[in-house]
Amino acid sequence: MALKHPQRRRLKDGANHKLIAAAAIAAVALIITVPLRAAITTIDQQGQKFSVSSVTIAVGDVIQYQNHDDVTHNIMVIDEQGDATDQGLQKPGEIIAPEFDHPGTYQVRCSIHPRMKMTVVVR
Amino acid sequence: MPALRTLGKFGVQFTLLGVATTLVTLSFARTAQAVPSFAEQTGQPCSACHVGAFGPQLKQAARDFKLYGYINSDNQDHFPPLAAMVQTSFTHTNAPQSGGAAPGFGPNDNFAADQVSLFYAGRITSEIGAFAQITYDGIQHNFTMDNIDIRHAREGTLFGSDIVYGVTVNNSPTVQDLWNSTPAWGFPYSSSGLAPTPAATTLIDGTLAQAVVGAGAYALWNDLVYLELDAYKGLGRDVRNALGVVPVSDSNSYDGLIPYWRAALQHEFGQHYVQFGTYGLQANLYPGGDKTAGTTDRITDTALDANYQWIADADDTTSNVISAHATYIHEKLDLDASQQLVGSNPSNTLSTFRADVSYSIGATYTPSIQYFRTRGSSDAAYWGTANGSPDSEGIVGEIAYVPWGKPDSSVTRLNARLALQYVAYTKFNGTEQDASKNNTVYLNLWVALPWR
Repeated sequence: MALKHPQRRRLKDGANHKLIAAAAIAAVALIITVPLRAAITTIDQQGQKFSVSSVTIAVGDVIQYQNHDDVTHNIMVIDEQGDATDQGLQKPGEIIAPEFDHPGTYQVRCSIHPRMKMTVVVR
Repeated sequence: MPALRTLGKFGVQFTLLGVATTLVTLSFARTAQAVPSFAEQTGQPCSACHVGAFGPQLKQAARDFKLYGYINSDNQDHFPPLAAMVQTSFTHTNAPQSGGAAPGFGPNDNFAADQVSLFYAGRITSEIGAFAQITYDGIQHNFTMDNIDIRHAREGTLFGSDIVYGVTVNNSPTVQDLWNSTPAWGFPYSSSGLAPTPAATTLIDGTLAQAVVGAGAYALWNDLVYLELDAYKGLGRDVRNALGVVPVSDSNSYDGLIPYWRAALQHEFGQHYVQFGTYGLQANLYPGGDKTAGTTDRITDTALDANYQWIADADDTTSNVISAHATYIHEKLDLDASQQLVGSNPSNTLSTFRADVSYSIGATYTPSIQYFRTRGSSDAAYWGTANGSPDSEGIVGEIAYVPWGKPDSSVTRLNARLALQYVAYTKFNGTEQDASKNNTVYLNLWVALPWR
């Protein structure tokens, strides 16, 4: 499995996701950075698991992963060739949004917690 | 825990129960683990993986980490994964031990530097990981190759469901196990090496630790069914001597391979996690290494075990946790060799039951209590107890305090565990009379730190 350079949209760097102000900033950032017609799917990371095991999106849609845990995650997006894109460390409270620019089936995993895995189908 | 038979039954004979009991205490301190290099490699606080924010009681994340071969990481450079551990203690027993609790120690109220360990714990390559430990035993005053578990795992699909499968090379049956109900990682996680402990234990209950080397294959299917098969081979005396494994003289030699099996079912129900399983082994051994009988004893251990965990809030690694473990080990001893050598019964049985429960509060305070009981057929020539009974029974109570190892800890590269433990016997080596003389107060400070 080859590692690629990190490619992600980091929508917010915040230490405390529970703060309403931080959430508002994240929302504004999201509006600014995401194309207007793109659908947004939020996947929660809770209890060192993803909230869903699979999701289907269209090219250009956005998946935002929100870390509700009090520990760091490190999301990897693995394409059909087995090449992995390291999204970097995701601290508690952070939201990251990997880019899915091409149709295909992707595996999304946390390199730290092997139980955290899901499938993203991009059409 | 080593059985009396391992410690020289044929050297001291069984009439010297006091001596034998003292010998048992010399190597009875349960090996304890805490590995900051795992925390460094994963970027996780201790509380993410360990109940009470200190090893070795595992949460699901730690079981996964071990299952996958100690290789998961935050993709930062942490090589080499080295760590260290120091344990110091104070031991008080209800009655002094004549002649001293161990060479160089007084009859009672002993302070000790129990052990200093160095670990290589983490990735060797991107696909192979290891937990390997070298220990200086401050009671026996020697270096020894301690626990080793080297693993490689892969993922696949079987019958439409995920499967994780791998191989392990290790030197102690159950050291590779994922659950805290089996002997190598069971409660109490640390105990005095200067207190008397019951003479009779089953073979799988630590007797083989570091005296064998083995390899096995394991698989977890559908996050539900776990199966494992291993085969061990006894190490020769020269090898054990070189590795610092003691005692070597008068210890058992093993004939042929020792098969070990493990099967378990596990499931998570929201906040609840349960596991039920079985494990066991069969060994042919020359008791005390004596081959003059021309035959061996055959020991068959069959065990059941169960685990339960309740986590108040899975998002919060410092939330309260109830954790319970239980195991029942039944041993059948066919004593063809011992019958000839020391006039033992042709066969014996020995059963051990242990059950413990702990409640971790904020990953800082963890009170625990355990009931333990060992019962077996009477055989004065074999067990060496005064009335021939191997029976012992009692309770262990403990309160542990761990100040750090949590996401908001002010100290991040160091962790410590201070535990006060009390062991109360209602029966000891076959008798209730004076059993309480062996009751033990054990105050233990355990410090773990990364090597760099």
